[in-house]
Amino acid sequence: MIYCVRNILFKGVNSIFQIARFSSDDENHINKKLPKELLLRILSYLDVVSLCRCAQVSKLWNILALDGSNWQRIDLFDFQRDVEGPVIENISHRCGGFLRQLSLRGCESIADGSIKTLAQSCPNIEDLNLNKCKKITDLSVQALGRKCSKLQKINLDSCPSVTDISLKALSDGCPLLTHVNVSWCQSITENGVEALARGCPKLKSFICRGCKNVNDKAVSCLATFCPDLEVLNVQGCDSLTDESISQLGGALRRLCVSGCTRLTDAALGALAARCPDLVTLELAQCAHLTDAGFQALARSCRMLERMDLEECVLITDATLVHLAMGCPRLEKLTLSHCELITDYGIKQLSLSPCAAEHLTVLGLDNCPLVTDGALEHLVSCHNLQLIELYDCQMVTRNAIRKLRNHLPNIRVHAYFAPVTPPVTGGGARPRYCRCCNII
Amino acid sequence: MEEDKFALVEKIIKDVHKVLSKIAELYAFDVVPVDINFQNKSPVLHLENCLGLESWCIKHVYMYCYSELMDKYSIKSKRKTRKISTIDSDRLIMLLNVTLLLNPEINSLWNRRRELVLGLLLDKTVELHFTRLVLSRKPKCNEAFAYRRWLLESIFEGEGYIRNGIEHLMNEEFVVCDLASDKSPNNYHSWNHRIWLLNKLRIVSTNYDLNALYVKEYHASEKWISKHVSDFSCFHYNQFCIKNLYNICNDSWKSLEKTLNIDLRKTLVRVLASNFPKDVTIQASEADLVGYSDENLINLLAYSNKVCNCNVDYVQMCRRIEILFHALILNNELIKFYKYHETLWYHRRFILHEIITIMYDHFGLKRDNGVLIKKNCKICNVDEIRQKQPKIGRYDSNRIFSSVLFNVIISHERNIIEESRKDGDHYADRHEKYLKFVKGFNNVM
Repeated sequence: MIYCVRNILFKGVNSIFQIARFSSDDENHINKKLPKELLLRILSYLDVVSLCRCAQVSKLWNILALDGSNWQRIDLFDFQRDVEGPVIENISHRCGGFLRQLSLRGCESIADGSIKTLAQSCPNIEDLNLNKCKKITDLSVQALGRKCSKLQKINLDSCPSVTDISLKALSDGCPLLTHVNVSWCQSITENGVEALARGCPKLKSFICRGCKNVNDKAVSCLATFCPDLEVLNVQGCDSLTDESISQLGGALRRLCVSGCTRLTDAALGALAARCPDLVTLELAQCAHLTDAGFQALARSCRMLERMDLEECVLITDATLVHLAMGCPRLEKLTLSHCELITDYGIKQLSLSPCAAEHLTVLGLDNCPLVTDGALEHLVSCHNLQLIELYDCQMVTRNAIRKLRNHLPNIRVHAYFAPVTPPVTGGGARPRYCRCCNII
Repeated sequence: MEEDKFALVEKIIKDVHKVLSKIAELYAFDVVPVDINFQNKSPVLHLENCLGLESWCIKHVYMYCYSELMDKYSIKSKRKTRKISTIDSDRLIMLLNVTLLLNPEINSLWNRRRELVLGLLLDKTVELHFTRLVLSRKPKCNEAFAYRRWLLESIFEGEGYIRNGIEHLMNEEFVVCDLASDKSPNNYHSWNHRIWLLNKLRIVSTNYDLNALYVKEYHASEKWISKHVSDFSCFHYNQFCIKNLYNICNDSWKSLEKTLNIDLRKTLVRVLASNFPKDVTIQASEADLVGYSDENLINLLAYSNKVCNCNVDYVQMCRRIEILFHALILNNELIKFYKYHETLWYHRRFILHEIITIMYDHFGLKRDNGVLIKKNCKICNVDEIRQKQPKIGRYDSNRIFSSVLFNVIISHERNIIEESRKDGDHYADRHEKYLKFVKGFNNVM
C-alpha cells in the first residue's frame, strides 16, 4: 500500500478538465447512475489508503479520488517518511487551496524549496506539522509567514536550524496563530518569543522544551501579551526564576516547568493566587519546592488533575495531606524519587475524596520508605489503574498480590520477575505474508 | 500481567541504556546469576565501571528485544526501501545494544549496526567501546571481532583520519586482544585478530616503526607461550612473529637481543658445539665459533656450491637460524619442564620445518610431493627451464645430509627424543616418526 500512496503522490496533476472527456463514454453502471458531484462526496468520506485504492480503478475515478477537496487533511507519518521534495510539491499543486492540515512529521529529507512551493500553492493551510524535518531553516518559515496568513497551528519541534527570524516572520504574517511548538530549537531566544507574543495575541499554547535561551523576559512577554495562554511548556529552560512564572495569567490550564531548578515556593504561591484553574502541573526536578508551597497551591487550585513531582526531594507527607484535602480531582500523581514520602502520606492520600473516584495513576518508584502498608491503604482507590513501584525495596511480592486481589485490573510496575513463563516473548508475530509487506 | 511484564522489560532496557550512555568508562559486562529476586530491586547493576544484569530477567528481556527487532526492524527481503531515520534509530540502537550484549552471535544484528554506522547514526569510537564491552563477556565472539575489523578498516579509509591517532587505536586494539586472550584459553579469534592487525598495519602505516613492534610482539608472545603451554592459538601467533623477525633491520636486531636479554649467536654456537658430529675434521671450539663471521659460519655449517649465481645473504640467513635455534632451545626447556603437552611438540615441528626449509633453500632444493627436487632460482633461471622439475641425484641429497648443520639438528633431536622417551612421553615417538616419514629422514636418522 505504501507503494500505491507513493506512486499516486508522485504523479503530477492531470487536468481536472479531463473529467468531461472520460465521463461521456464511460460504460460502468455506477458512473452512469451517479453524478460526479455525488461520487466526489462519497469519496470525501474515505481515508487516504482507500482513496489511493479508488484512484486505481479507472481514469475517471483517478481524477475524482485525487481531487484536492478530498485531500484537506494529510498525515504521511504512517505511510512513508523518506519522502523527497517532489512529493510535497505534487501534494501542494494537487490540493491547492483545499489543504487545511498537513503533517510531515519525520520527513527528514524535506528541504526549504518544497516548503516554499507549499506556502505558495496552499495559502489556506491552518495546521502544519514539521516535527523533525531537520533540514528546514528560517527560509521556509519566512515563506509561510508571507503567504499563509490563516495559519493557526505550527509545529517546528526538533528543527535545529530554526531561529528567532522564524518567530519574527510568524508574528508578522500569521496573527491567528494559536499553537506554536518550537521544542529543541536551541537558537530560539527571548527576542523571538517577545516578537511572537506581541504579534500573535491569540496564542493559546506555547511549547519550547529544551530551549535553554528562553528566559524570564520571554515568559514575561508571553504572560503580558497573550492573555489566552492555556498551555505553557518550558521544560528544561533552566534560567527561569520565580519572577516570570509569577506573572502567568488566569487562563493557564497546563504548565510544565520540569527542570527549571531555580523555582521556589514563591512561584507556587503566585500560581496559587493567579491561576486557580490549573489542571496539569509538572514540576519534576524543582528541588527547592517544599511543603509550604504545596500547601498554598492545594488551597486554591482545586481543579488539579495531573501532577508530576519527580525529584522534588524536600516534600514530605505533609504535601500529600494538603493535596489530598485540596485537590479532589487528582488523577495522576508522580512522586518518583521523593525520598521522604512514607506510608502515612499514602494513607492520607487514600483516605481523600480524590482517591476513591479519580486517582488512576500513582508513581512511587524510588521512594525507599514506602512499604507493604502503603499498598494496603491503596486498596480503597477503586479507580487505580497503574502504580509504579520500581526500586521500592520494602515492598514485597505478597503485598502486590494482595493489591491485585482487590483491584484485579491494576497494572503494577515493579522489579519482580514475571510469575508465568512467557509464551511468546514480545507478543506473537503478526500473521501476514512476508512477501506482501504490510497492510 | 503481560502488560506489566512488558513495562518491566521496557524499564530494564531503559536502565541499561542509561548506564550505556557512559560507555567509554565501562570495561566489563556480565550476567550475574540471581535465579529468583526476592527484592523489588533493579536487576541492572552498575558498580565500579562494570555493568551487570541479574540472570532472572535475561530470558524476558532477550525474548522481548529479539522479537521486536525481528518483527519491526528486520529488512524485508524484497523491499529495502525503508531507510532508518533518526526517529526509529534511537529505539533500534537501544534494542540492538541489549540484544547483542546478551547474545553477540547474531550477524544480522551486527549488520544492522553497520548500516547505522554508514548512516552516521552511530559513532565509530563508541562502537569500538561497545564491542569491547561485548568481548568482555564473550571473548571468543568472532562476530564482534569481525565488526571491530570492519570499523577499523572504515576508520583507516576515512579521509578525516589523523595519522598520529593510529598509535592510540593500535594500543587499544592490543589491549582488547590481551584481555580476550586472557579471559578465554585457546582464543583463536583474538590471536587471529592480532595477526590481522599487524598485517593491516604493514599496509596502512607509513611512519610507524613496524620492526620495533615486531620485536615487542615477539617478546610478548614468547612470554605468553611460556605461561600457556597448551594454547596452540598463541603458539601460532608466536610462529607468525618469528616469521616477521626474519627481515628486520640491524638496529631492530640489536634491540631484539636487548629485549630478550640474550646473545642469540652464543645460544646458537653452544648448541652447535655440543652437537658437532664426531668425524668432522674441523674441530672448532665454542670460543672459536663466536669469532666466525656470518659467511664463514654458514659455509662451515652448510657449504654449497650453488648452481645459480645469486648472492647469498649470509647475515640474514644467520639471523634466521639464530632466532629459530633460540625458539628451539626455549621449546626444549618447556618440553622438559611441562611434560606431555602435544602443543609443544607441534610447535617444535614448525621450528624444525623452518630450519630445514631454510637449508633446502640454501642448497637450491625444494620438497615437492615428498621428493626432493631442484628449485629453479627465480632470478637467474636462464637455462634451467629446459629441465622440468628434475629429481636430484643421490649426490645432491647427500650434500645436505652430510652438512654440519643437518647433523647437528639430527643429533639434537635424537637427544631430546631419547630423553622424553625415558619420561614416558609418547609424543616423543610421534615426533621421531614425523621426522622420519613426513620430513623423509628415514634413511639418515
